[in-house]
Amino acid sequence: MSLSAAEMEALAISIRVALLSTAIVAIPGVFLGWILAIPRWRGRALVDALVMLPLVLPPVVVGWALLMLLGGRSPFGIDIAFTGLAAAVAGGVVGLPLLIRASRIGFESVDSRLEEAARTLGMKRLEAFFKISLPLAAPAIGQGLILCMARSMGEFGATITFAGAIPGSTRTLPLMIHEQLQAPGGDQLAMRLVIFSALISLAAMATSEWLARKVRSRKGGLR
Amino acid sequence: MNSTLSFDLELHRGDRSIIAAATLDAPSTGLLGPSGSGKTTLLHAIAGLISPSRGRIQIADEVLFDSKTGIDVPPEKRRIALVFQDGRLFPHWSVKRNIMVGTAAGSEATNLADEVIQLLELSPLLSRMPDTLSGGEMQRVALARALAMKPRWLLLDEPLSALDTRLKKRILPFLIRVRDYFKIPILHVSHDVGELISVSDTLLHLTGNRLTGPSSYQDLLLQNSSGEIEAMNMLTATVETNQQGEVLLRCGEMELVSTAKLDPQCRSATVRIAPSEIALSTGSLGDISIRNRIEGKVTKVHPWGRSCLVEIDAKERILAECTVESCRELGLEEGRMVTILIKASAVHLYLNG
Amino acid sequence: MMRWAWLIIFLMGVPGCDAEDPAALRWLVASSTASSARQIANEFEQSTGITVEVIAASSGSLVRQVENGLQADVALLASSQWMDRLEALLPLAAETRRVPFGNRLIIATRSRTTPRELISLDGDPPAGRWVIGIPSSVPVGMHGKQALQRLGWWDDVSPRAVRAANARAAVSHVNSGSVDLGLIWASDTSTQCQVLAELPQQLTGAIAYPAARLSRRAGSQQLLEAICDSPAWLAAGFTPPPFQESNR
Repeated sequence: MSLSAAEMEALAISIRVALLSTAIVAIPGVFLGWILAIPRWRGRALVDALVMLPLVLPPVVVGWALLMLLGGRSPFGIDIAFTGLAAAVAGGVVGLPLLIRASRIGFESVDSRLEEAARTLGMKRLEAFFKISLPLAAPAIGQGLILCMARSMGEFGATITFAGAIPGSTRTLPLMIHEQLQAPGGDQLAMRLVIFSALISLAAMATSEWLARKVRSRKGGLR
Repeated sequence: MNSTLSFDLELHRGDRSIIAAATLDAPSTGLLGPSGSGKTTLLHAIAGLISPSRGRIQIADEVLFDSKTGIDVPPEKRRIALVFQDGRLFPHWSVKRNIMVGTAAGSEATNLADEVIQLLELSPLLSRMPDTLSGGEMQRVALARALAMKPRWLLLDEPLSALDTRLKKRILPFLIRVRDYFKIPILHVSHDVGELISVSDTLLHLTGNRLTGPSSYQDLLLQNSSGEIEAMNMLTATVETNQQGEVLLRCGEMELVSTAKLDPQCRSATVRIAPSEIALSTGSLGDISIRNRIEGKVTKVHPWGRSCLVEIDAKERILAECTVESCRELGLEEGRMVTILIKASAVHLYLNG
Repeated sequence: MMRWAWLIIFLMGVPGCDAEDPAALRWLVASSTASSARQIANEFEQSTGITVEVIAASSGSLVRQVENGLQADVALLASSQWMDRLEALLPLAAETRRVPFGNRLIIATRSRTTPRELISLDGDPPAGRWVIGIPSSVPVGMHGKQALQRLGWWDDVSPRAVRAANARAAVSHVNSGSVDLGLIWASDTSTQCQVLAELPQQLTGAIAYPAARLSRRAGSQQLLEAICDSPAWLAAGFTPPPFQESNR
């Protein structure tokens, strides 16, 4: 079972977009997960609700919002609509809540008193974060990144709204499958693409599960 | 001593306010107090992890905290090591790496670390991960980690609480070694009097949100007749014989028999006898199974909570606990002759290091 | 308490949503005909008393759904090719097929206060972002691609052309200004857009809107005739059927 040039292109675009979208949201996602893991600060519930928004809104609405903010009529004067970058942003935005949630759980499971211990031993606050908290939260964060990437690869509504389905630049795998399903006789091709998507998702889930096991096997220092 | 620690603080904890002021210059100071009295809070304030609401903390000439001038040196700069009750080893690092975390670069620091590892007998554990260690091993590593940093002061927060009696007895000698070998001043917090008496030169007492001391154990004990401080007899002894499950000890002019297990090599030990495990008799005894029968004279009877604490001179000073009724029945008062009865199994032994 | 009452009422109504009027007819329409189709459906209901359910989507998508088992009574598509396919599936469609009207393809942009310069079909393809219906299934896109290919513009324009899922979506992109230019039906023009060029039949190929019966249910022939005879189409901007097609 081999793929035609158009299919390979859609697959390559999907992978490229998924990696780029994860790269874009990686640092903000981990950072937001970290500050949301800090208990009891003013405004925390509000920030939490805002970052979870893309998870509960219909993806098309997310895409439309991106179009309004970063498209032709952007109040910031930025127009990236219908480009490969747009597809990455759309994928990143819908994957971000998953990354934040996993990152938050990772940091919450790190005993904050370890950072205290580190400070009494001479480590500055930031140093303690990078040497103690971050490595201990890393497996959970890794899981979050994979989830984010998988989610981004599967995104349809936000991508088609904000990035269009331009072959060669923004027609990702889900978009191509959709297009094939619109046309009578597109079944066979659609089926091939569906199988490939499923295989990629399974690989992502397997890696995520392996990381989850690493998280579980960490003893001590965790609550 | 040029590392005298002095503080005068007010700490808020929940809705309580703790007032604590003292000047510490003994090699090892114990801080005694019931659970929840705020001992940990005080240690954390000295270490810099929490800020007092007002006051001053100073080591020798260096001011670490002063609410009037706004000085608050962060913990990483204070060089005060804190050994936590739960060890708090870094789970993703080996024992060796944990120990080395506070050390500076250079051979001097490495040498110190090696000495610490030797002293605490940690060489076989260096490549292990913290989650494979036993409770006692974790505490030793935590102690080593704190020492390797070459701190100016060492704060120990209930270092033995999480361990069972057998382990406590095994770790105490290490603490004594640390005190004697490294000459780093220690502030040792515990709710267990016996633990503190063995290692501390002087005691502080935190109760009712106020700190008293430093003073000696006897002074502290007799000032607190509410019975809050556990009364304890602690004596140094030499081992005369140790065979057939019985250890014969000599404390000054007094002889004691103990059934505690003692390493045949040991020549000296610390004896600990709880006053509540001592019985008194004023009459003749006849046949009785108790192995330790010592003659003495009552020096004073102290009211002690709901009972009485009888101070007896039996060549060594012994404290025995008695009900008020018994005191009356036996006519215990200053000058009365009594026989002190201690079962051999009530004579507990601790190694000296 | 009130919340539970509302929940129960709602749940009771839900099965009701699915209850089909046994006598109603289902009419599949290409999305570019949707608004006129609904108008005709209402008139039909008023005069005959038979309810007509209008389902609008791109022609390719409609055919696909029928292939997958969607039951319908009449179909009005924007592409002869797709109707041919329906004929292969349902011989009745072949027997009853008619072509009531056609359409033209135009290049349009969003209306602005200062109108844009018209496009010459002899020159290079205009710069900017385009929108085109999905060329493999949506008729406005199929004809659009054919026209662009015949102009020699396809290779240049395609990489910067957003794909729309149906004719309505294409119009929406143009009118909102999220694209600079779009290939849309002449019937879909409004004050919101400006026509920059009209594409002649030599470029687009013959554009026909075939209609046919898909079932023998009562009223379906009547509906088909009402569709074919209705003056609403020309009024809405559609064209008379292309010559080759009108005589089938």
